[in-house]
Amino acid sequence: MEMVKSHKFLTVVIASLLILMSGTIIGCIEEEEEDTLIIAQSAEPSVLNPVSHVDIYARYALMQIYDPLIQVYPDGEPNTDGRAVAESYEVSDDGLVYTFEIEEGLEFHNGDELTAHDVEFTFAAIDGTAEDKYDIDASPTSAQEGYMDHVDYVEAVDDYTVEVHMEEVYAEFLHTELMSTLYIIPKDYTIENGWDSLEDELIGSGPYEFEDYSAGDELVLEEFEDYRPEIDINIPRIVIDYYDDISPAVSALRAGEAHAIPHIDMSNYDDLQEEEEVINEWYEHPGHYRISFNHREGPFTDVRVRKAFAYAIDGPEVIDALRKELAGNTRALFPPGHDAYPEDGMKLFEQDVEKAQSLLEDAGYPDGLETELWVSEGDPVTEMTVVQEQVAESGFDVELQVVEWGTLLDEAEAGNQPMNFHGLTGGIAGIDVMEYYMGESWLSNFYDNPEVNEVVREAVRTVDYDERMELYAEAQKIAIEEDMACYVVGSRRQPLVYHESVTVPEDSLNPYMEDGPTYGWHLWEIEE
Amino acid sequence: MLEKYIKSKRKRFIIKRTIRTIPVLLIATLIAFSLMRVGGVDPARRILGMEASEEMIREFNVEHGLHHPPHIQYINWMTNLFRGDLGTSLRWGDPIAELIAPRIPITFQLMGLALFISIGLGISVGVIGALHSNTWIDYLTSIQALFWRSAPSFWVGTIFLLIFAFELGWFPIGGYRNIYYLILPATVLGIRLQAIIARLTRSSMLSVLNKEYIKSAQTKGLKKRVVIIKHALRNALIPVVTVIAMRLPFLFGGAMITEQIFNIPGMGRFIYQATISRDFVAVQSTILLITLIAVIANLGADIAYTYIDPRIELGSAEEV
Repeated sequence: MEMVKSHKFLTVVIASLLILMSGTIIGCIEEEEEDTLIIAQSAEPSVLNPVSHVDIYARYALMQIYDPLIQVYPDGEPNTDGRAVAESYEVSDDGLVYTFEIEEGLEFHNGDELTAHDVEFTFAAIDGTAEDKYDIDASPTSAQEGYMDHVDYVEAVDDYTVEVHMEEVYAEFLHTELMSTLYIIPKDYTIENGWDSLEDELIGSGPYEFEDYSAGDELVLEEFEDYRPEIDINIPRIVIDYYDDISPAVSALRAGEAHAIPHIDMSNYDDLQEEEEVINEWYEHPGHYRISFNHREGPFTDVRVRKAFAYAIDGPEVIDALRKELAGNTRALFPPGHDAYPEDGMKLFEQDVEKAQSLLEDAGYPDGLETELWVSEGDPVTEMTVVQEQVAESGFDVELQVVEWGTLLDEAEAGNQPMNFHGLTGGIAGIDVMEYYMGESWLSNFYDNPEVNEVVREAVRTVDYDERMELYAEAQKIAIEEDMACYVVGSRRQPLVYHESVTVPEDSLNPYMEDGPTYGWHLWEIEE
Repeated sequence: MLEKYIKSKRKRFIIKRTIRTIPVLLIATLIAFSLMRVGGVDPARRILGMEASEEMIREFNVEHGLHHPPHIQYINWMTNLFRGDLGTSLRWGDPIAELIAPRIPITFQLMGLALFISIGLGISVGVIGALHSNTWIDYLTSIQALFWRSAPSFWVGTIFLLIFAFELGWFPIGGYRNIYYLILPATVLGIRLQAIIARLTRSSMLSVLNKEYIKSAQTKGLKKRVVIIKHALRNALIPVVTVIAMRLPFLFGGAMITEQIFNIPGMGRFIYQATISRDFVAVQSTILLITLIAVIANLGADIAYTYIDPRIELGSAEEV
């Protein structure tokens, strides 16, 4: 009897296990899609929403789904070439009205025509006035809302003309992050389906339609077959695989299971140089790496201490330690070659131990200074370890506080850091960089010089592009050469690594907006 | 008191064991809730990043109830749980149930395939060892079992990845498109269980092979294969199957690590992603769900064992 019972039980348990194991057969067998560009990304977007996006990882995807109003570059005036929704624009002589002529015949992915009314609606979504003007709830908050403070009102004059009226001259308006990330959304569809539809369906007018998004896993985009015929789409399908860390993304690239990594750290960039199947390139990027001094409290409120620290550092050696050709040796906030870089150059504060010691003694630290430098994990630790060793010779005893990125931001905001180090993407507008040095802000580590503020404000009111860039150059000279507001370790160049099976056209590496070649993914080609 | 209303010993045992899971689950909720809040990191800034304005941070906190004191947050969470609502992810903004739902089958597929591999391999190796007892074949099976039981799973995963994916190119590096992507991870996951099964099968087989009825079957002239499979193995598997059922929660834990190594979009990776994002709600709800599954699995194993050997359990289980 016991034997019979045991056998019955055995039967039941084995059957249960077989049912569990049969789950292995249920998994759908998907055909591997050919002609699919697979992008390995080391982080996932915080918010995948054309209005409320907050990071570059979201923009990599959104740039494929949405076309911009105009094309904005780090230097020079914006244009209406290529994928721009506007076929022309003009600025009034007084700088107070921007008029955009929208190209006729453009379509959203749902078949609706893109008109000036959609552009007007998009601006209203950004500045939070959509609920006042349309039959819809309050829009999600946009990180670019602050730029709309300069705007009086936006009006669709007719179906294909939209005017932006400014409250005051804001010469940088077309160069701001607002304009470089203005993703035109469909008015009628959004009003009908609500703001949630922006994330659920992602209806744009760009070369790719949203196909599927598996949170924490991947985003799938399919070619928009009714896209503008004059623009080639060489890649029918894009899959962005989201990894939790850069290492598995790099492994995937090495193994040919991913075609490119748009955002990679220096250690892996260096390692990949040895891989025959991987191509390493870089392009200029409007940003820099810097050590920020606390201007609100502590020893670095004294300019002598800041300059002493600057003279204690050997900038080129720090760059050679890690970034090498991916950082330019400069102390300016804009990279050499940029229109806002001073024509006569910037004082480089080359290492001078004696000068550093003398300045430190003058400031009241004849026996040296113990202090802290806060950095996030990863590449910054390598670089700042070099700095730590260098400045010791001049009398600075620096303790590195290595923390997670989120903690670094929190503590910076609280003003608890004598110094911190981080890379900065300066957007593409002068104001986006310079605002970090105006007024009380944790981003500037509380640097505030009224003279700099005045020069920058004058620049913002200066319509002439060349004159405006000269004023930014002047502001940098005050902030850096006179005040040593922050020590810029080097200008930022963005790495791009991709598999040899991919052909990346030269012109797609032009740094449109701040996100570089991702804007040109549709032009890439995959070899069989 | 239960004896008055429920005559069956087994039923009383089951009810008592079920009731005992409640405090376990409550403690699990407290631990899961508290752990993520140690350190006081602001999830809003962590999730929204540097570009988010103060207004966006404030809106985020209000939307997710993070502006309330911790004890209110706990009460709200527990209230929702009793309604069957696991909450909304801070990181992705979607209901956690919706985020978890597609991941559960993937994790179960991984576990299922691992079981398939470990059982098939383990039983085969165990039988071979038993039939060649005290020979070099037996020693080899013992050594491999000892090795795989000792090797850390992350090390095994890395080595297998390097050899079979990178160097030989037999399997994908990671990710999940179809069942083929799970073969290497499932092997990594199942190889330790295989070692346990192999050793247990060997011992159990040796024990059964020495029984009188086996010897009697052999002397009656039955074929050796029939004796081994139909008579010996069948009975030798009873304790083996029990152990497999009891090891299921550990297999689940191993799946968490394996998914991370191989970038598989299952439950384990989801917890990892939620943890590094400081997504309190996703982590605490998912941990609770996993605890519930583990508790049920253990309860099931205990109940199953009462059928295997009623002499031992029900008498002592009354006092447990």
